Amino acid sequence: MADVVTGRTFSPPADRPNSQAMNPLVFEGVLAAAQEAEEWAWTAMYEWLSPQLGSYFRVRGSTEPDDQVGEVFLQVARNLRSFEGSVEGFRSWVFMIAHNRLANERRRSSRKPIALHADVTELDRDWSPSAESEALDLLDDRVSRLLEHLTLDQRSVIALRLVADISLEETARIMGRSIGSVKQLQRRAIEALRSQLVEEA
Amino acid sequence: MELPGGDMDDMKDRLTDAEVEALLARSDEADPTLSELMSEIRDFAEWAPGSDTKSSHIVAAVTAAGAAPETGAVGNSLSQPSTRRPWMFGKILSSRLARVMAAVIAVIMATGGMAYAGVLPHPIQSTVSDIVGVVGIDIDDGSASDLDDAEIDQVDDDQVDDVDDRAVIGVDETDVDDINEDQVEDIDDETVGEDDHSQADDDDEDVDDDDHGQISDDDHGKVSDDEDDGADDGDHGTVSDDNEGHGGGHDDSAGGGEEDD
Repeated sequence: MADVVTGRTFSPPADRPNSQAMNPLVFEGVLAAAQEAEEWAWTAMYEWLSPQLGSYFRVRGSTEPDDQVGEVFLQVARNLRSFEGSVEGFRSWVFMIAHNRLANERRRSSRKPIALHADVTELDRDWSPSAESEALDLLDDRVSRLLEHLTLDQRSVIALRLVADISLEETARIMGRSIGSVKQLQRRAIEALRSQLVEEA
Repeated sequence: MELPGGDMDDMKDRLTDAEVEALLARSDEADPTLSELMSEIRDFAEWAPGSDTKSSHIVAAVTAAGAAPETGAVGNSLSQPSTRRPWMFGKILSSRLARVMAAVIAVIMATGGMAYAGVLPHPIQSTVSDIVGVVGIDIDDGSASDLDDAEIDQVDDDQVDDVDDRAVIGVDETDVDDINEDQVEDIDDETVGEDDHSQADDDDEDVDDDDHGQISDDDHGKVSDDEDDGADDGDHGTVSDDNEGHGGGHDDSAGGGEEDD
């Protein structure tokens, strides 16, 4: 495999992770290599976390998930040298960066109205669609309409817990809330979605 | 889509934490309709970067990681604590108490020098003298005994002026000189203490004074006591001697006997 930056070839570990969950032992090696700016390690990290991050940004209604994912990885790269922690802690840290980025973005654009339908259209235009995506456009429109009835915090909980499969405790830590508050948010979010289903029926 | 439970009223029921967790964990025990909705949301959220996007992101991350400084703290926190050690005195001096203490110290230092020189006004000088005396520092308290020679001369001149004023009403300057000389002699006798006779005279005078004072004080006091005890104002007004006053007191005692009757 050719190095993206230098063009040299490298041999990544045979068990290089490419799934939502990463083996803690593998993570230690990937983290150490990424801290030394090894490209294979960054590729591994990107393939591990970028789909989860992109999904998180989509559920949150972000206008440009591609750019958001790239910005999160830039911030991770700038601060990774002194990171110490477990694989769960690393993933929480990355999502905390993502969560705070959206909070800052929302703060900056607080005077502008949020139009979710326009955001989804914008996303579809920039996003590289899969083969099935066009067939699922109608379904996406329906889901986006359902999510529109949720508050931003409820969307965050659904994105972190349902899409990124992050634990209740880590979700509370990422959002800066108590566990009880997260429980209440996720319950009300699902109840709100259920109410929309009732109205559709 | 079939609604959970098939009943619209069931949809309004509040979800339990267990039901919510079952939905989020994709458990088979979760409500099937809501589970289907959760799956739709996951499908909707699915995101994959394009190849160009992926390459550009990785290149940017590798470049940033290579250029990142060696130091800096991340851990599991987003904020990077400063590696610079805070100046401890800065925190101390920034407190309001420190500013007040500095002002007090400045005032003490300023007044301390003036107090040591004895140039403060008398009440302040006395107060400062008392305060610093607690810690064993002796400074002038501003009293007359501590006045310097120039002030003493000024006092003498004032006394002479007072005497001169009295001379206008019958005492000439020679008498004033005699008085001053007598005062000087008395002062000499008292300070030297060799003249026993003069001391005896002084003692006698003290005895006489005491006797006289006691008699007069007793007389007046007893009369006053009688008045306080409710003696007849008419009797007291007519009797000017002490015995009558005592009699009035006894009358009061007899009055007590009348109560016995």
